[in-house]
Amino acid sequence: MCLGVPMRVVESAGWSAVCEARGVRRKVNLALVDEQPAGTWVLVVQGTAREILSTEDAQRIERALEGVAVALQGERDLSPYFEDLIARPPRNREA
Amino acid sequence: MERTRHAPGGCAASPDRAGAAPLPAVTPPPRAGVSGVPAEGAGDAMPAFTPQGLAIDLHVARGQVIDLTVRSTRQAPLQSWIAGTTPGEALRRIGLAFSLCRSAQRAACEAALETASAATVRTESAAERAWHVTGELWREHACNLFLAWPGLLGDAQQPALVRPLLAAAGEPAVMQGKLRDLLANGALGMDPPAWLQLDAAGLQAWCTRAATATARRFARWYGATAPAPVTPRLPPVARWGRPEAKVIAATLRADPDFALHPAWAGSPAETGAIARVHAHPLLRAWIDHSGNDAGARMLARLIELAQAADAGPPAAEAIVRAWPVGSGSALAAVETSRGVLLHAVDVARDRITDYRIVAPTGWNFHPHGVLRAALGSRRDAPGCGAQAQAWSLALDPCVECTVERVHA
Repeated sequence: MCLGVPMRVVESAGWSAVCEARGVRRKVNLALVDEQPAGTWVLVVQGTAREILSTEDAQRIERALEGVAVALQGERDLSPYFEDLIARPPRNREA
Repeated sequence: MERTRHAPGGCAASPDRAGAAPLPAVTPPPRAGVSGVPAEGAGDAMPAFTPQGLAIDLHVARGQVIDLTVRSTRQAPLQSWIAGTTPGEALRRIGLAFSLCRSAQRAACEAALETASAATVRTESAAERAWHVTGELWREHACNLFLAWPGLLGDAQQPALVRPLLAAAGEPAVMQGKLRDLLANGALGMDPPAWLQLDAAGLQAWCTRAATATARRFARWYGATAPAPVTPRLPPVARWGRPEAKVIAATLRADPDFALHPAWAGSPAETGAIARVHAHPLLRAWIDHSGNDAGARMLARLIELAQAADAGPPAAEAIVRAWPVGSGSALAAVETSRGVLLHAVDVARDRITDYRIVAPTGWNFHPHGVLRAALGSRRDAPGCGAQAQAWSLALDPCVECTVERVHA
């Protein structure tokens, strides 16, 4: 529920991009964040990039999702996977 | 039994499309690694989280839909990654993991934890918290109306009607002003207060005059999507009290299925904009003439945006609520674009002992809810997939959703 996935832009043309996360590629709509250069991190929700992420934030969210995944596999010590992202303000997604 | 999946990326390839109302682009089902991504490469060795997904199955026999079922393809039980943490750590984890409706998730978490443990975990005042949730609600409404809807219909998306709301996030007056401009000059083509005062004939004229792309989409869906009979609606959180909260919390503890398939007074209940503004004359006019259909859910969103542009954000008490439901236990309820979001928590000795979330998608995609009531029987099979996609967009799940026809 309500989860987005950080993905990195591989190539983009207008509002359409191929993005990659963990070796998996998908087509992503960039209408909200506009065309982005290769290497940009975006937060993808249901095929649409909802915001641009810094590398640091992308990695934090990735690690948190990994934490959820390992928890579902029985891992109990999740402290390495969750770092503080609470205080960061919403990133300006206006082009 | 044979399954037919609706083509991702648009309905043009779907055999269900012919002669039906133009409908949605359904995203592909969740697969390994990334949310709903068609895999083109192998994942690495680290475990990857696959978000929950929804699958709508239309069961077809002799050219008619004989049933509709909704399956949840993935669950993410919170117990495994929240239980045993401190309240502060639970807030941190939820804030990191839930990136869609982040403000609502954080607000619900903070309100529930504070009420349960009498400790302050908030990072902002109650008024600021409610405003951030409201601003997010407006943005999500705009994403649905001006990006997802035209995307479904194959029209040009309208990010210009959404981006200013993202840029204005943080200042209520600024965001209200942007919203007023976007609606007056973009979506409505007239001042929001005047639009809200239209009668049935005025609404029909606004649609058929088609002065804006938004009006053209409403004209396209006027009488075109399958109507549902009247089904129960979840009351807005402003009307909840502690007795209702205690019942919900107790049921959540007793029934492990409740978080995915919640019920109100024993029945599935729809939540979201249509539940909040169901009595508005403009919505009543639509329902009287077009039906209790997918378009009515879209109109309810537009009514809420127009009301916000006219009157500003609602009172904080109408957006974020929380009640103690036992010693160290609380339930928080937050109004979001998709409907009521619930967080229930038990805290003992500064540790989370139980944590459960009921998302609006659980209410709106209940297996026996409004979707099944609208499409579950006696529908002509050729158009059923497109109708299901329209309803899916109107109910707006927070996860990826597929529609398949299952031939008996």
